[in-house]
Amino acid sequence: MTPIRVLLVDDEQDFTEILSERLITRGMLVDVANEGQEALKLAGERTYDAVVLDLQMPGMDGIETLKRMVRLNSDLQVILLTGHGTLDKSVEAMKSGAMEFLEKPPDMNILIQRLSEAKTTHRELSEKRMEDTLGGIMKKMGW
Amino acid sequence: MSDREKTSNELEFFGRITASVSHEMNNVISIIDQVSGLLEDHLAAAESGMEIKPEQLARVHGKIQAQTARGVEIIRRLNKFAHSVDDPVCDFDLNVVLENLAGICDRFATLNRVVLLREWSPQEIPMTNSPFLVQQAVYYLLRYTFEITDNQAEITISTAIEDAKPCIEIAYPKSTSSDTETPDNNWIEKAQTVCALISCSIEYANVGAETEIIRILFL
Repeated sequence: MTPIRVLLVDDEQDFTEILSERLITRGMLVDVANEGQEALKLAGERTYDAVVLDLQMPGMDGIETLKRMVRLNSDLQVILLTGHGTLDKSVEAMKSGAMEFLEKPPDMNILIQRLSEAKTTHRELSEKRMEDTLGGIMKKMGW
Repeated sequence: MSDREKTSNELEFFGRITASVSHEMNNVISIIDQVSGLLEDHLAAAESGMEIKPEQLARVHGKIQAQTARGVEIIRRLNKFAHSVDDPVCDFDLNVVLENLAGICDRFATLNRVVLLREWSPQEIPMTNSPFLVQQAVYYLLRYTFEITDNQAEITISTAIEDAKPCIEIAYPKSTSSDTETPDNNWIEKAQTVCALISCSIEYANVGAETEIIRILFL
């Protein structure tokens, strides 16, 4: 089984350091970014099944990072983490394309379950996109 | 300003501070939660026959210790801030009150990607006033400077005694960027409203071509 590819984005370095270590122990491939700009760069260069994104960060906040990530790759499954789960923010996050909104500290079992679901969804979307692209090419070529 | 508006503004300020501090505390708890989970992972590995190395435990211990110290400091600052409403007017040292406020405001500075520096007067600045309202006025002005300066800007808050009166100065570099955000809150107007209640005035000055200064002068 191929591992889940995860990007963790949070300005709390101890948090990303330990969480990434624990996810790696569980067989996942994890990259870390400590700010939105760095996360966008990684998301543009590599393929991830899921992004775990803190809502409040210096500079570009979680919602803005989420919006730009989804513009970059609409298949990306983004789980937003927040220390203050207000209804307004969660509605805005879901409207902006977030897959899930979890309160900090996240329950590890729920997070792992969501990451696994994100992988399934992401790969299904990617396969469908690939099929559509191939179908388009075949149609265009008259095959 | 009516009493109701004044109370509403004070509650809004109190709410902003406590929301920020609670968010900071939640970050500390989230890290301790992860460290606890890591320890649980080590224990599970040990139960299945793997050795736990002393350096693994030392690392966990170090992280818990660092976050505990951080949490204690955050709570100490919040406690001092909360007690600043105990007496509407009391005697206090301006340096002590502002050092505590600056510690709380560091998080706002970080979120705006600027740095807050302190230069307190070497001697005590005894005052008889409302420590809560003094903090409210300074908080608004700090938020203003955080929002109008460029990323990585260094903003300095300092205190002094001028003509036997306390003085607070906030110096900040003029923005050179075209995309510096326009503050969405009317911080200056809010600060002026508070200053009118605590017998102080706000003045603006330039130091050379690159630095601007906001001064709060107590009458």
